[in-house]
Amino acid sequence: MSDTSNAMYRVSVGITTSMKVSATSWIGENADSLGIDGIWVGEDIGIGQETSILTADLLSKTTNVRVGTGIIPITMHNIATLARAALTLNEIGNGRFVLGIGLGGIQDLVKHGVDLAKPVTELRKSTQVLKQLFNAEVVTVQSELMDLKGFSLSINNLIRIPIFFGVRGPQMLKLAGELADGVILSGPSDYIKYAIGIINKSAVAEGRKAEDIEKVVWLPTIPTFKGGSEKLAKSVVALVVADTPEQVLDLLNIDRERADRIRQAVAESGPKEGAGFIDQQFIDIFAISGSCEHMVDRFELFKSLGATELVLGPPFSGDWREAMKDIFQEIHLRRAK
Amino acid sequence: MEWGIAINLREPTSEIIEKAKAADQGGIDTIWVTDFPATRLSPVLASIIAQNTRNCRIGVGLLSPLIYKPSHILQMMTTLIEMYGNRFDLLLGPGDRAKLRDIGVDYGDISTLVERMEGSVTAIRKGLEEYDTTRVFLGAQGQKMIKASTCSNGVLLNFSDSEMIQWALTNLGKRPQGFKIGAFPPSLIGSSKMCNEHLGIKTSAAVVALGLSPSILRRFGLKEKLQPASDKMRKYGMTQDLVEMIDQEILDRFSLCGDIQSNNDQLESYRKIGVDMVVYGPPQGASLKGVEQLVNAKRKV
Repeated sequence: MSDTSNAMYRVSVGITTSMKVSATSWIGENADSLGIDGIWVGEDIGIGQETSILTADLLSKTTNVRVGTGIIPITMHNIATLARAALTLNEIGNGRFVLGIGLGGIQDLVKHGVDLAKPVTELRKSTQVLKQLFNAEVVTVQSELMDLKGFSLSINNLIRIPIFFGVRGPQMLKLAGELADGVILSGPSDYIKYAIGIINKSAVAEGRKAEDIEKVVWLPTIPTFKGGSEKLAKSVVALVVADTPEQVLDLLNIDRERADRIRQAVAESGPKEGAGFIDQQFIDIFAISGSCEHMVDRFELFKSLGATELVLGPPFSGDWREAMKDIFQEIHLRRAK
Repeated sequence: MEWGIAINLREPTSEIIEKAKAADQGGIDTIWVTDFPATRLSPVLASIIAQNTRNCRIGVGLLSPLIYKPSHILQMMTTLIEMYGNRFDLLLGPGDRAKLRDIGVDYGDISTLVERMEGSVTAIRKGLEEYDTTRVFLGAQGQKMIKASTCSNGVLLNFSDSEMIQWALTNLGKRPQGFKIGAFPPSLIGSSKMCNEHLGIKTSAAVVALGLSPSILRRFGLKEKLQPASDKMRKYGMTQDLVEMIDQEILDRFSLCGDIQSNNDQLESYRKIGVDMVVYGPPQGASLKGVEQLVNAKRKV
């Protein structure tokens, strides 16, 4: 356990739009009583529930929980629609809504024929436009993704909606340090440490305080108790290793030969084959998995690296509702100490 | 006759909920959550209205498939139905061309617009097949769009004049079984103010009148009469002066306005020509008072 075990950090639940209504509703209905700090809604583009409606449902089912999109891709929606959805959700949540945006995964962008010449510039401009619209300004802008002419949200008073980024590369992380209220990060612990370093440095260079930018860490979380299986954990981690860019793997203190074997096995035969090469070291680097206590220990480790919020998210397996209750109970017990 | 009301979305969400509750408790059959590109997002508000009402159906739209991909509209509708039950309807249409242009959305090749709308309606209806009580309407004004609306469950026309509605019905030709005819004009029923004194209803009617295609205006002898106002609008946008330039007689053809008795008479004439539903458009649903006035009118049918 890290030496910062008693320090406070937020713990939220991450869900995706491809989950069933019964599962997301259960989370919304129980979030307050479980003491969940937040819910993040990840958009699986075009699949399952509609992101803004799901977010609205969760905001209206809760009273103390922060609910955010984590993330909604600016490449897939008109910026006016994103701003209008944010305005509506902010009112529904009485200020508990967070707008998490990003460009979307590379595979998704390719699939939908999106090819941005200047992605960093586009995210910068989009963020600036959203902030202007929330400030009740009339905006005219033209860019790769946007074409607004004298557009406003028709509001009289400015609204304060935190904007978080879901980003990965160094330029994007630097931009987050300049502009974002928070960042949603995903990746192995060494990468998270590296990413937080870039964000903080960029924030300070911009005259901001590093601690003013929230760092949300969302990794695959797989309990191996209450029916959760280690087998599933290994399969998920094999898939994550296979999907991790070479540059990120190079940052990590891992058995590279084993990593290559995993990638090869996943590519040739799928994650189940790759799972055969996964050991506890790999699980701990690429996911948060194990017993209830071990998982909370891992949350605390990320907290010691600079994370301000940890996300308990998919894949949900076994009796995940009971596992979720146990994990939050353990967190609250440790907070009370 | 099915009664609907379009709830204005320019007010804060808490006020929108209050209006929806009043309409639901007052027995209005359908609450339409209109979508306007520069204010709150209607499908999100539809979810909140569903949570705060019990009996009414909830209409989403007019949603433009030019702003939202049909797959996205379908996803919105299925999410609403899965979460809150099978009580949602949908209104599709291209939307206001100028407002769409302000957010970077173009009509594209105008000669294929009707065809594209038909394609969107068909795709969305197919996606909603398993939810058999969900109705998909097409908003229409022009001859081609009215004809094309037979691919949907019904057409909603935004003029109020019986002669014009009759013309639309003739254009429609043979209708599929169960096809609904609806009027969705600017409305103000039960207000103590005279129609010619209320700028809100006059402006809404003027927007509809000046948005009609030249061929329809000619067909009903309105082209020349509206030309000065139309020219002025192109230069300066919609202004009070411009609204005042239009004869009240013309504005009356594009709005439902008056006391409860005149509304009852109008509904009777609609019934005779085959109108199945009326959606009372803005400014009726702009205020709680307007909603209550409509509820009162429905009680006295």
